[in-house]
Order: sequence, then C-alpha cells, then structure tokens
Amino acid sequence: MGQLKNNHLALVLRIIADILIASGFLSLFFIPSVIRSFYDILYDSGARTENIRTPFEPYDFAVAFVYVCAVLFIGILIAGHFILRTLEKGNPFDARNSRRFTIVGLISLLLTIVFVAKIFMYNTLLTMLAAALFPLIGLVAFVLAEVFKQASDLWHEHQLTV
Amino acid sequence: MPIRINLDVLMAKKRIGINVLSERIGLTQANLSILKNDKAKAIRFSTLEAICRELECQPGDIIEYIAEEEE
Repeated sequence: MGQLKNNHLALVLRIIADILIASGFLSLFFIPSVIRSFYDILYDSGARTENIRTPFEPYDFAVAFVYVCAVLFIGILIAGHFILRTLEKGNPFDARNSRRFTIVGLISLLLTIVFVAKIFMYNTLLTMLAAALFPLIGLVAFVLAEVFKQASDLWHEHQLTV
Repeated sequence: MPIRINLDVLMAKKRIGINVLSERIGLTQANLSILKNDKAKAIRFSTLEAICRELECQPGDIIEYIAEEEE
C-alpha cells in the first residue's frame, strides 16, 4: 500500500500513549492502597463524620469501580496506540483503524453504563458529568470510524488507479 | 469485469517487456502489473496516452468492453 510521509508528531503521541499504557498497567497494582490512603486522609481530616453528609462510596465499591474504569481506559489507550502506529508509518487509511475507532466507541458506551450505574448507587457531580461526557466521546469515535472506513475505501480505489 | 485490458497482447506484439514499458511511460512495474492483470479500478488519460504512444496503438486496442452475456 502506498504510504504518506512519516509523521514525527504521531511518533511522539504514540510514545506518550505507550507511557500512559505502561503507567496504567502499573497503577492496577496500587489502586487498593492508593484508595485506602485517600480514605484514611479523609477520615483523619474529619471530612467523613456523621454530621457531614458526604456522598461517599464504600471502599470495596470504590476499588471495584476504579478497576473497571482503569481497564476500560487502558483499552482505549491500546486502540489509540495501534492507530498512532499506522499514522507514524504514514499509513492512516489502514482499514483496521475504522475497527479500532469502533472499539473506542464501544468502550466509551461501556464507561457510560458504568457511570450511569454509579449515579443510581453513589452519585456525585463528577459522576454525572462523566456520564454525560462519555456518550459524546463514543459518538465522536463512531463518526471517526465511519470517516476512516470511507477514507480507506477511497484510498484503496486511488491505489488501484494507474 | 466487463472491461478487459489487452495490454499483454499488445506488449507481446511489440515485443516489449513490462520493465521497459513501465520505464518509458513513467509508471512503476507494480502499477503496470495492476493494469495488465485487470486489477485496476481506473486509468488516467495521461497513462492511456503514454501507453498508446509507446505501443503505437489506439485506446480501443487496449481497452475492450465484453458484454456480460458473452462472458
């Protein structure tokens, strides 16, 4: 397949994505202890007392919720890694990029479901904002999937024009 | 496909190889193979002109329409 000029910006972005993926995997080991420390700080500061109505999910729920979100975010980053690799090689109209954007869209919908579920269990302002934001991200990802699919078809047709 | 490319026939008549022809008309061997093997989706007029010039033929000699019943 013909290639466009190599893109150094894509290389930089791919390296950043790789660092985030590695950090994400590493952080999976530390989530319980970090949340525990966070809760300890809040307990010690008196932020959680019977007199203060703070919407505060139980520790176990918080850990499970953060793990689910972390895994889904890492999934998005991994899809982004493969997309950026094709950009880096000057091959943006790879047919697989459309599927990768679809995967990002589906993961965004899953995150929407997770945050909507949290609204009904332990609601916060940030939870509601995230639940409103992720469907938009998913929609954008699905639109990009369709754009890349049509672009890939046009590119292949162009490649077969002599 | 209803459109047949008779490039290989013309090249054999003129006794010209794909590497020589590709060099003369400014196409890569890969692209010329795509045309020769009926894989091309479209052909530019500039390419058609160059082929006709080198093979001393008409566009109709290269491109032939085969009605689907005949196939």
